[in-house]
Amino acid sequence: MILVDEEIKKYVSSGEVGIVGFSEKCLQPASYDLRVGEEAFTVSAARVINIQNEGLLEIQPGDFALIMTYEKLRLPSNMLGRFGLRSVYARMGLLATAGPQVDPGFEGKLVIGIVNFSSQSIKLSYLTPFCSLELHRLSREVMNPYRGPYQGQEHLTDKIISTLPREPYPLAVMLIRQLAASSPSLSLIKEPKLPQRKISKGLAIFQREKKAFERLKPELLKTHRGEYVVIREEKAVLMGHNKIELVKKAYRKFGYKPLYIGLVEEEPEVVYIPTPRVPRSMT
Amino acid sequence: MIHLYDNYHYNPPAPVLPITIRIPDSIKQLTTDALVDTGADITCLPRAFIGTLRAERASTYDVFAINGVSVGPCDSYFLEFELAGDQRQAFFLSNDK
Repeated sequence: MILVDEEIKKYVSSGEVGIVGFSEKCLQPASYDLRVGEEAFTVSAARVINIQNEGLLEIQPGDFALIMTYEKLRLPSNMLGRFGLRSVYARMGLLATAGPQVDPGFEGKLVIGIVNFSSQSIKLSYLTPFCSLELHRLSREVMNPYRGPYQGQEHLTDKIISTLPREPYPLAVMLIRQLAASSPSLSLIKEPKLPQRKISKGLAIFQREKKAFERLKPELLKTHRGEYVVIREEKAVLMGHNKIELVKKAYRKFGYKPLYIGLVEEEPEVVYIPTPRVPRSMT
Repeated sequence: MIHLYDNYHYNPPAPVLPITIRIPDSIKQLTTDALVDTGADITCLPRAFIGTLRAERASTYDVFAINGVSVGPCDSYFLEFELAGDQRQAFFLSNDK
């Protein structure tokens, strides 16, 4: 039997089901939306990406990504989970690859493989709900709850990554190789290169201060939760509840120089753009 | 003062007002037409204007479109503006997506 929203909330409240990082905003009628966690790996980048620090995970066309969920799960021995990509991302051309189920007794963060079958890069930011998890209550407790190699996983380890292909753009590379094999004149085709971005001095300082904010946040959460903080030269120099007054004070004190103002909360500040209106000249 | 809806550039007609933007306490400014949305959380600005004003980033927001799709984190800029004779300061988003 699949749990409905009220039951999921009840099981989490009672501690029978563990969802560390649970948010009521992620409850769906009969599922729970799992969010993008800190760590991901893409074949094109060939490294573990800290999405919280870098702000964004970009999945190139044809690329394969492993994304670790923000939520850590703990399922009792009479419950299993099934999950799939949220339809909004499926319609964009992403395909989630995963085992058939989250076993009874599993505890840890889920690692979800995603392939981008579209012709455009697709971006996912930290804490974006991207997968829906159904929870199924079984008729009885299983004899042998899950005790496999992924029990307790919370990071993308070398062991998880070592089985992945090492070449960028796996689908595109395969296609180019097949074309090259069938026509020698195409053998001059090189592997696609990522464009190199030049960044300004102001942007470099802004990014440095932003990283410093993420680094300092755990400590700031203990003393300044809910406040805004100004980061300058990698230090928290001003704090306050009114963001506009704070930035005015910072510019008066330090001049109009690059700095970073962050909200001391676990989740980033979110805004919604409510209108798709554009001038006729842009359509 | 009465401003008419712009039915030349927008269909359906939209409320548009001239806006002057500058970095705080600067004399360098630019004036353009702004689409007014009284229900909006944030003000958006074309990236070209940021370059013209030489504005510096101040903060970041996670931006979602109305259908719930993540646009991604967008940098924001603290700027002064004049709109309909009123002078204020606010955070502006700029991201050409």
